Amino acid sequence: MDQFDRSQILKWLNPIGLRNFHLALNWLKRNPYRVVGLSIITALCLIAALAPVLAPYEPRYMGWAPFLKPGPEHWLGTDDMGKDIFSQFLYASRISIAVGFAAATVAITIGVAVGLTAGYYRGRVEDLLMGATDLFLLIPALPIMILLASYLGPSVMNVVLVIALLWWCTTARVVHSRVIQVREMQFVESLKAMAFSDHYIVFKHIMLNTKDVIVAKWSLAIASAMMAEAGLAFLGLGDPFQISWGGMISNAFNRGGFAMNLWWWYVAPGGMICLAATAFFLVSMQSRKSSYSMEMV
Amino acid sequence: MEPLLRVRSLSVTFPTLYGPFEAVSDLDLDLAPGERVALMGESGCGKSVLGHAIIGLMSDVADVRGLIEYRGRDLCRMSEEEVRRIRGASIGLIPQSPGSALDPVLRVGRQIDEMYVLIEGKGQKEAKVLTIKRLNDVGFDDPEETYDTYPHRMSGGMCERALIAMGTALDPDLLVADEPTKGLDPESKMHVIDQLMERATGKTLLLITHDYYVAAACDRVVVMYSGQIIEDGPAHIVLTAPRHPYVIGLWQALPENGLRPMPGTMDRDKTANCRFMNRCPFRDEKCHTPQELREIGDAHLVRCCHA
Repeated sequence: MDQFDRSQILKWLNPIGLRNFHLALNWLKRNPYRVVGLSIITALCLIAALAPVLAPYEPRYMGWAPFLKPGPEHWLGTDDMGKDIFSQFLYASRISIAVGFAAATVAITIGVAVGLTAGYYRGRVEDLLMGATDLFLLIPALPIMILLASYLGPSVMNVVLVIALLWWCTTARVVHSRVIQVREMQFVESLKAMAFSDHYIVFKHIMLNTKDVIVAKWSLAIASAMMAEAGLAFLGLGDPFQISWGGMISNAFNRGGFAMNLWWWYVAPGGMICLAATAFFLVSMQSRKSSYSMEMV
Repeated sequence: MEPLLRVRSLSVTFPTLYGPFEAVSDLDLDLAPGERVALMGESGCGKSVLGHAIIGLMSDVADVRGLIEYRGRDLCRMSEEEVRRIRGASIGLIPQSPGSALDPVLRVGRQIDEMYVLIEGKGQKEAKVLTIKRLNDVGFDDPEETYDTYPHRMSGGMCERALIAMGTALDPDLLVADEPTKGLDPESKMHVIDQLMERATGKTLLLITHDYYVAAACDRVVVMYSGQIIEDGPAHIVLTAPRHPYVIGLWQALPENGLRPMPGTMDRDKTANCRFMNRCPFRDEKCHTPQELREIGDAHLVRCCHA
């Protein structure tokens, strides 16, 4: 009876899309890690978006007494130039998150394009593309990142490009091997027999079958990009006018925060970098677990 | 009558580590419009290769020679674009292994929709209506629910029926079914064959199978051995009173005919005058002369000097 009622209710709700809501709830139940990860990410994005509302003061205003301890007026105290650290901290989330998303998205787009093309067409195209990928994989990431960032000059755009340039190759490798696996499956052959174009088979069927890998790789890439950005910023290669969490730690290091043991200055941004990276790792972890690649072969 | 499909001296050769391997050798086959033909043979005899060559699904490494004419036009000599137009709309494929022949991440209905949307250029809504009608035609009780189901939630028989709906979606004149009953239990096997035969009414069907009972549902049976056609005739004659020693052996191996297995395995040697000679109980000196496919009865051809 219970079962019957439920299905009736669902059928009735179907036209207004509430059935999808029910499915979404089910999905959340089955993906606990992802729920945790996604909630953290949502919270961070909200903080970034609402920074102007949430911040108690203008982050660049330098009129406060320097080196104030955390208190009700200044939750994280003030820095050497008399700026409010908490306001800086909120605004810095924008840069960190934006760089993470942008760099990862560029890297994944390149990686997926290379992996799909190489995996689907095989032959000489594959040799060429995967050879190039291997070449990029061989380059030691950190030195080249530092070199490029200092050569291109410090700007947010350059940091994004440098990270993207070094992150696409692992994606290309993973996508490539999954595509090889999928393209040999029977349904691809029947699609070919039924006159669908290569373009359509690759972009609809093969990419859909690769999506769990792509999503996992994307969220891993965001985590890595955020950490790489923090690293570059800490080394002073970030944009000096667009302070990120890494940049805040760099400031704390260069301007006496570490020396005078003002831990509130660098622990908050450091902790946020860890939290954000963990959240993205959690999201990718779940999709690795729920991957059906094992049942498929 | 002008045949719908005419295959002339078709040879398909694959390069292997041990030298070239001729999977199909110098094969002739005509399919008349409306004819339902079962292509039988054991694994490795070249029946699937022949089927794939007809629908133009040969890997690049294969060397395909000969003529495959569909309505008098040679499929091998057409441009990629022309072949594409004929496939799907005029030649439908019902693939084997129902478990993997549907995209696992797309709902079943969506996959059939694509035939209408991408090949015929219909709208999404119209496509859905047509798809649901097709699913109903192949015996789904609740086609709307099936439309929204993922393939892994359906049984092998259900997947195969969905594939039949997909293969016949655009009403092709020629249907190539590649072992549609592979891996199905006898019950759903008969159900699938019933549905297939119903959908194939008025169309030409080439049914590739190694199942005696499935072949019995067709009008004509063609038996292949080691890349050649060795017997070709009306189903009731080939299946009950075969004349080629190999087909006789198959008949005797059936449970109701004594369950006597055939000794030996298929020879890789393709140069012998009779490729079945090493396993044949009737072999003698005459077998060392070239064996041609000859007519021994009404539309009944056999490649054996003893028949």
